[in-house]
Amino acid sequence: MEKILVCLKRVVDYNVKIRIKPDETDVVTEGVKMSINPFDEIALEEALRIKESGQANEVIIVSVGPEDCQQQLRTGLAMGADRAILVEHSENTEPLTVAKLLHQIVQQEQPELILLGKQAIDDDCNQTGQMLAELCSYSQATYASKLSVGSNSLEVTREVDQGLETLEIDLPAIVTVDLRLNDPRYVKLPDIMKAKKKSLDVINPNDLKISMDPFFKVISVTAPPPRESGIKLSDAGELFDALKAKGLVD
Amino acid sequence: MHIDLPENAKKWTSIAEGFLGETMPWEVEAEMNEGKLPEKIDAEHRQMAIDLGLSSMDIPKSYGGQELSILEQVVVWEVLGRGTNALTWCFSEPQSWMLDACDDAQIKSYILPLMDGTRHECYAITEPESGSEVHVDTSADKVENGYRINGEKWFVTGANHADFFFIQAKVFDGKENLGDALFFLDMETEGIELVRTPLFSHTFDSHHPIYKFNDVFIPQKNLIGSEADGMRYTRSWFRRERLMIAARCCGAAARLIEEATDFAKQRNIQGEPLSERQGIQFMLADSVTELWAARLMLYETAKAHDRGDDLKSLHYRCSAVKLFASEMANEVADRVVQIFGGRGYMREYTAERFYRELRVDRIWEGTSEIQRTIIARGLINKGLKNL
Repeated sequence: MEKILVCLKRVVDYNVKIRIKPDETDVVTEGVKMSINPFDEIALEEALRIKESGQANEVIIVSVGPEDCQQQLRTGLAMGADRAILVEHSENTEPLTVAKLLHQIVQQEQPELILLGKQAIDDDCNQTGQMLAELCSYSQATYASKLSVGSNSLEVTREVDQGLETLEIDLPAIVTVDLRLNDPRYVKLPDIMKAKKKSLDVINPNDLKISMDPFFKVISVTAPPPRESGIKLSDAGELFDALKAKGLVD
Repeated sequence: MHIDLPENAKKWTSIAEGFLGETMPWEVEAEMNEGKLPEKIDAEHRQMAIDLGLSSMDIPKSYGGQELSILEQVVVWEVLGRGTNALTWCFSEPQSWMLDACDDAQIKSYILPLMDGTRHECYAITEPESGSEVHVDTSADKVENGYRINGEKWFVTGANHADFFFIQAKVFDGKENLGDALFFLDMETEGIELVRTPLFSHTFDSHHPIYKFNDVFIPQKNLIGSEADGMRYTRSWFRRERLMIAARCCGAAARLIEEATDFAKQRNIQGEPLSERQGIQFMLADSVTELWAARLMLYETAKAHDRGDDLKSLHYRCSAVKLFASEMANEVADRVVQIFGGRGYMREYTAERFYRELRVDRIWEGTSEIQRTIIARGLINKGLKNL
């Protein structure tokens, strides 16, 4: 195939302990390490492996977010993507808006395959891929843990509640990827420096004629209650009695 | 503030900047978690530093090092000094004096493994009854095939990540004192007691615990150089450390000045930027001037090392640079906290962190007062033109 498009979201790094703003409007992101959403990183790794096996010619990465998203796109370029596109928007974005913006990019670029994470680890929406597939009228497979490219189709193994499901879908297609698909490569610092020469286009969402008005209003963001300390019991009988007293077993 | 530097120094500046750029986004996370980063991130940073050659800057090419000039090392540490929470000091850095002092077996088992990160050292020099004057009470009694060490060491920097000590002790043959010596001592040796790990002003992952040595046996092969060489190596180590402290202080001051300037330009007070207030301008202008002076002293002293000036006179000059740069950086940090106001007192702001972290630079590797006595002794004994 000619092109693979990979969508990357900038999120708080998964190693960071999340703190809530005192006014409970959002989590603290100022001075916090931000990274590529880990599921999206797996999607990019898969795209690069397909390209390196000679089954694709170009890997393009795209992100929607503030100017600082360029850092994550540079990391993606250092991993091996050929070029990057940033749709710059400083406010929070919602899945449908992102899907509409990505749809415009898909129309411009006409990729045969679109890869993205099954969800982002910040809002856990798990919607953008499915919405984008609908807007593009591409075939779709979600939660991929294995992917092989055929001449004009894909074989995708999906992680579902019952176990594994294997589908064959036609290209062009959208695949959202799960955790076990691959182990993304480690980016070395000199590669990040070299990646500065690669192309990174910045697009204004107004030029794509998509309304950025939100559909939702966040009322409050609160931390989960702190975990209470447990009690020590001497044997299984006591455990059973304790659970029974709490009404957790009959 | 332009100071012309050779091409290779510029190249190493940009290598160090790349590393700094990777560690800086983690500073607040480290600050909020007692200085610690997730192990995976910490390991990635250490590997990155090693891959870039930062752990082998002072080591000759024949041993696989970078063989950088002192000037080049100074510019690297100046850049790394811009980072807080010691995130840019996550690697061990063997020094060329160690290669002069150690025999081949010691180089192979202790020094070279520091370079690739397979071993980590710590320094047991300071004692409860002594400080900057480096007076040693820990004893090393000569016994068959080695020494028995007894004593207490304070501020054993980096011991929580180390697997061996450089330990300094007074060697006795019976009652006769033979002088101070340096030894390698493996962490797992019997008789080493971790007394406690005090908390300090800064939030660093590298701790400074107190250790007691109770009849600890050190084999003869772990003696570094001869039995009276301890102080000589400690001095050459101090010279280098003092220069690198000065370098880090210059880097820290530069970041503080830049952040304070950006803040003052954005913050509006009664309709005009804070940067338009003369009170703020004077603080920034003094900071720039003092930083400039410190950098010029620093680079000139580094170049003097590279051109091979007299070691004794370099010792005085290193003291003067360390004294001036550490006092300057603390003064700058104090002003910058003031410019940031309430924000300057918040731990998530660089100014607050540096305000605490830089304080020790006026104390370790010789307090400002010790540096002054060294400089004065040089002046009195040798005269101004020979310093």
